[in-house]
Amino acid sequence: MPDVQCFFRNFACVKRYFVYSLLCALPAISVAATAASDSVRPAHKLRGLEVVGVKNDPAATAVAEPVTRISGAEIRRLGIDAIKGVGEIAPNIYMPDYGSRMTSSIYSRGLGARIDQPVVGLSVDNIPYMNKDAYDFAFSDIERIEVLRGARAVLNGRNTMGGQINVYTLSPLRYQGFRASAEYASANSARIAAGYYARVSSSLAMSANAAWGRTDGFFTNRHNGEKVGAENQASARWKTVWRPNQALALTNTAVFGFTDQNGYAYAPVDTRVIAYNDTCAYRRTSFADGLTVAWAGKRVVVTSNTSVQYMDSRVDLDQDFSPEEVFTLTQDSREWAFTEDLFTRGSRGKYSWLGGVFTFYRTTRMNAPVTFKDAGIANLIEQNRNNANPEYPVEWDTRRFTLGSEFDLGAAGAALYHESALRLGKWTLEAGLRLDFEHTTLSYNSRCNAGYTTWHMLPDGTRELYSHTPIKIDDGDRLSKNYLELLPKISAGFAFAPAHEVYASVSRAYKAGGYNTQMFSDVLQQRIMEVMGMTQLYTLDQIVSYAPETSLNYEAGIRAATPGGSLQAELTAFFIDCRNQQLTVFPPGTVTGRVMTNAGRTRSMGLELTAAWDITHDLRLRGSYGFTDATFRAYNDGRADYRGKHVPYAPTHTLFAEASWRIPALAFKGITPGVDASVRGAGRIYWNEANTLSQPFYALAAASLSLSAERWNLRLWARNLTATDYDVFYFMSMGRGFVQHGRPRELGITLRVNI
Amino acid sequence: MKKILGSAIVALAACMTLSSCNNNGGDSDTTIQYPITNCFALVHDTQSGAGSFIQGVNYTMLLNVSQSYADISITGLNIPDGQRYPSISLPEVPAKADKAWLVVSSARPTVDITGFGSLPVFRDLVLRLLDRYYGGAYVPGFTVSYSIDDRYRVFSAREGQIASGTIQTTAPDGSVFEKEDAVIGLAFDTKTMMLEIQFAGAQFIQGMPAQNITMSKIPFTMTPEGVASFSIASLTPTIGSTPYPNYPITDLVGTYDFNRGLDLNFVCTLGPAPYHVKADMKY
Repeated sequence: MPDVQCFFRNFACVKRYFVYSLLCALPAISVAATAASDSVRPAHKLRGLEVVGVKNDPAATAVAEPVTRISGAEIRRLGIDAIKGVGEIAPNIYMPDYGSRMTSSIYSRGLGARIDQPVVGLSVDNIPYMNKDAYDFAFSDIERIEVLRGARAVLNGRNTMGGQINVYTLSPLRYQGFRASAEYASANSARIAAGYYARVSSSLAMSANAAWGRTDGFFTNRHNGEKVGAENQASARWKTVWRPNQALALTNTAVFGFTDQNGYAYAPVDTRVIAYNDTCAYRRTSFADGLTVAWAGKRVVVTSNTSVQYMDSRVDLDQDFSPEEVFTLTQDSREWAFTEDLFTRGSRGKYSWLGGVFTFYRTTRMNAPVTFKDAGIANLIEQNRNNANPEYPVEWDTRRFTLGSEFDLGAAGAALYHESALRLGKWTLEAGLRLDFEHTTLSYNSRCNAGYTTWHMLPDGTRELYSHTPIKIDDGDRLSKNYLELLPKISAGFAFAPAHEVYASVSRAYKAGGYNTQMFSDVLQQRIMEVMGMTQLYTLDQIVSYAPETSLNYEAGIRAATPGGSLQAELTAFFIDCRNQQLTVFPPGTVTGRVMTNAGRTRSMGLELTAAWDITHDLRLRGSYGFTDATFRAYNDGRADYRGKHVPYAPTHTLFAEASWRIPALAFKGITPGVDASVRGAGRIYWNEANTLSQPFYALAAASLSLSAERWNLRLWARNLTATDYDVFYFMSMGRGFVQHGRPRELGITLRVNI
Repeated sequence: MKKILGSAIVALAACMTLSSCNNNGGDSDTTIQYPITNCFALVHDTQSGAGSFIQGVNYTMLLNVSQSYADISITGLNIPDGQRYPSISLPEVPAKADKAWLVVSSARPTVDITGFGSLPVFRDLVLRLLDRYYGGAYVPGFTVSYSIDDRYRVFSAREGQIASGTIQTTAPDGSVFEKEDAVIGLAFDTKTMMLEIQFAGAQFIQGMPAQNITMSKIPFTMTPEGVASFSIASLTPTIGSTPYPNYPITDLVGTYDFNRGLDLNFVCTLGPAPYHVKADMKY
């Protein structure tokens, strides 16, 4: 096991580690190539003169785990401008682009969520993003993205049942100079970005980045003729890397983001025409700062990752997505989050280990009023009520009223974790354990000030006043819950040949419990119905709260690479038993009023295949395929039993293939042309638990022509080249189905400059 | 007509709060006080055969758990002969458990009344108390019976009652729907001799939204032993204080034994179809 201190004292060691780092940065899906060059993977080291992804470094794991790594070059070549672009490249990872940047539903191996907690964690420069509403942001100068597939609970804790995505921005230690890019594309989309990277001294480097983008959006609201999906967004980043001495390294990343989006492109499934009258918009201002401090001792490295995150967002929705004045939602929230991850890793002979403590605190203040308008009052309230009692019809006092809801949500947690690995010849055995405690609170105030008049219809057709009923609701309370989860993991790997390894693992993971504030509309609905004579059968806690969802994950795989690593492949099989699935159901015997429950059980199993072939230095092929068969073992929503049905929203197949050819033979005056073609696809995607609606498998072709010189690159590109027609999302509202169409063909041109 | 359900359980609980004090009898005795207020008393004159109701009678029982006796005080009791007893004390009446009930009884309890030259004779005192909780509120079952001066037979209880059990609905096609743990409130207005029945969260068929249904102005009679009988040919129920004439109730008949519970039958017409509803709710 290389002595860590060698890294600092011996130039030869520094050179070996630097070369190692470069190998890690190559556009390769698996790390088989790097593994081939270093059969004894160090459990800890400071690579390349900086601390990068220390805890989740796939190259530093003892037993191989399925990882999809996307280099900066691939990010630029494939036009990945946000986290949603990672889908399908990583097999069985699907991130549909619908709604707004607030909707960041990630589906992994059949697991996923539309509500509250995610199944895949995200960290950017070691900042663990605590709210999936912030997952979708515009990229700028990303060095690489790692998708750690499968459960990652021991090291990453909550909400990593389906994996962990790590995004690393370009470091000023790796690059110095000026970078800029400008892009123009379909829908009047434009983007400019610039970054300056410099060494302030031999031990201090900084970078400053800024980016701005806009788009008209690809769809049109036929009701008012406005474009839907228009956006203005901006971001800025300041990164500092400081090595005060040979044993200490600090990296600080501060990032600011702003987005202002207009419109949700939802259309009724029967007309497929977007047409609604009320505002749909999403605005978000965010700030995050992450400080990583690493100290390297003789045999141990101690690392601290500290972050502070702030997000201020507002979403306005025309809840009925129709030209009628039915009802609207506004959600205005401010959130702070603090995280601290302190861990050590070390090795002694054949034994290596990593252990640490993680704590977090998150507080959210939210104001989410729902406003009922004329048509909503008439059709949703009066009509239903008066059909049941036409002789005594009701008439609302006003043609507009608001259900007010304010929330203070809090969550705090602490975890202890440890992972140990033992190398026995060609075998590597690994075991890990995490104890995760979480305390979650909800303080709420729900208000409504309305009323209605009841008339008595007389035999002659006239009416007389029967009664007037005020509806004055002012409810408030504070709820809290505690959760404790024990998350074990065991794994084993056998390197039967250089750069060839088989591995298997069993682990437990969980998705955090809490309170679903979206259910408060059901709470207030039941309160109003209670005034009108209906009974509220369930407590508020039963309606809005949910316990953690847990999973047992079984995984086995094999990875191999040819000598030299020009051809790499990996095959992974998995089985997931997910219990206590968080679902909404109608309680037995009722037709109104949903409750949150942990009533579901899912079985998911499948395969993942990845391959990369560097035919020549200039001609590269890569691909990935994912298959998932995810079905309900138990799910009865009070109206129907969905046992055996496919889990909705998670695709059965994902596919990605790319051919990239840089053509030096056609180079002229230092300009080298290149061509890139790729295809990505997903499906079948079932849209409902009954599996009566679905999106068949669809494939989106992309291509680009590029001209590259020493300091610039010009790319002409096209996405969805064949203008494939597909839907990315479906949902039901007021008994009506809505879809969001996928993006049409896009054409664009991008210029990048490095000075 | 008093409306009790919804707020009924809370009101009942408020009138029946328990308090514990540890300073009666011996220093180490455990005592519990049960204030049971606003009861009616059916006073039956065994000589004339006439019965009359008195409202506003209050009972306070201080139960000495350690010594198995209770001190009972009665206020607001009026006798048809015009005699009014502002306050009557019946000290140290033996108490015992009878299954789930607490039974405080004496064939000839001692009577303590201040300000009266001659004391009434109480015989055959039986006070029955059943601890019950509904919706987190304490709503006990309570009845008391006794005779005065070997002439007047008194049965006393609260006008508001809660019954819980199973409601069974038989559809026109013969299928049966059962709702367990159903709660029914009964408000006996002993001035007007009208009963109001309130169904909390009533569901008579599968998929029916749970509703608070009130059936009012049902005439009732009561035996001296505290068994109320009631019936009505048809009525219009109210939901949320609004009549629902398109869901008429017919052939309603039932009995309520204050010591044993409720038997209730009626027909609820939903659309064109009659549904036979039966509630069997015994203590």
